[in-house]
Amino acid sequence: MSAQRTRGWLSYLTAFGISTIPFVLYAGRLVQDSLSDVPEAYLVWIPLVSYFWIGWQLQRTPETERSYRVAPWFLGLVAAVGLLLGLTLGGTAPTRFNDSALLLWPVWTAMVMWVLYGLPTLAQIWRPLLYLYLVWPPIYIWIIDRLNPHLEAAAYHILNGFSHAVPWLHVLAAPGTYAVDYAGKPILVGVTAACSGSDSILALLVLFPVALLVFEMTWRRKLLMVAAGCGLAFIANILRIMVIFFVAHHWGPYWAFTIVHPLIGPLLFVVLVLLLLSYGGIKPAAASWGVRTVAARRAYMALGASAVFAVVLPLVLNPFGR
Amino acid sequence: MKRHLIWRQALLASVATAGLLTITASVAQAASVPSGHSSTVLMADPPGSPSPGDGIGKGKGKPPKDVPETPYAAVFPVVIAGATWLVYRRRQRQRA
Repeated sequence: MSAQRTRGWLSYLTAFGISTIPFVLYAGRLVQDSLSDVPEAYLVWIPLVSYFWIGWQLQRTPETERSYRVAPWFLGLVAAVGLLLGLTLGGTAPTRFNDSALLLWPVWTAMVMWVLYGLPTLAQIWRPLLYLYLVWPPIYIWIIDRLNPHLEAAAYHILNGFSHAVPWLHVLAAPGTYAVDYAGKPILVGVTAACSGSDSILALLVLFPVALLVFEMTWRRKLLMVAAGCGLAFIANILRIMVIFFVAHHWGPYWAFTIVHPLIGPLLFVVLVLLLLSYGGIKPAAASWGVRTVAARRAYMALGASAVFAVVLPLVLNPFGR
Repeated sequence: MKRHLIWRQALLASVATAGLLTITASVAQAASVPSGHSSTVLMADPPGSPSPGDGIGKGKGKPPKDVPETPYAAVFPVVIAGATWLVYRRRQRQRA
């Protein structure tokens, strides 16, 4: 690895570290949810994906002449004090401003990038910065609340149709509940929101577009791939439920719900993503992770001052220690 | 990309995913993280008994069991990242 590339990587890691540290404690809920079976579990990935996107944008564009209208150390100080005020206001009223401290994350990241790489950089990274706002749970929950009922209704509609085609599957009175005949006895199965494919579709909607950045393709093609992915994920998920019903009918609940149920979804998702990328991502975009380096000494000084604030602030404003 | 390579990659990725699933499920179980909802509810009650949504634990049959949950949110992003990296590297090598 060349010295320039090493400096570039160190520069990125420092920038992302300082951008993240003040919010680590505020993001505790996201980490806690990350292994739960709730749609918000995806939120913990948003900052990682956003920083990958920022890094990608930085290394894709040549380093420009920095244009500071104000000194970086002053800028860093203003950013840190602004963050202090913001976190204090958000942190003292957690019930009134639900997770509102997370709304400062993109702003703080923008300031760190400005200090390190200059003002023109913001024009190149505004999209990943906007994307970072998704980390604020109410936005994501709002999307889920509007998406899930439609997915559920569509899944029930198709499964109800399937039940007419096979004699061993019966629709029950409560929406999303079915009885599968096995060895002369019925097994009652409930299909809920998570079973309607929302997990895979959300993953494709939120994360897949960023993955497509590494391939050269038009926006129209990217949009088409994401839409195709969502459609195929929905179909694959319906097939998954049908397969689970089928296995439950022929081999019983153990095989259906303990063996097939946890494995078939991810396996179908792997095949789906690989097929989409293999057929859609033809031309890899050029990447050179060493083009951005922090050269200005004063930027390093501002960085140092910001780092001190970034480390001290969370300790002072620990939201769980109040 | 040739078709057999795609399927070989899909097989490799599937095995990796199964391993990842096992590990994350074990971690989730060990940590006893809260579960927002159960994706599938399996009950031993006959049809016509209280529905799974409001009948959990109230039916006359055996108590209902939650199907083991898959931590999809921990697995799907890794799948997307891994698959993207695989395809990207292969395309780069093809062009080199």
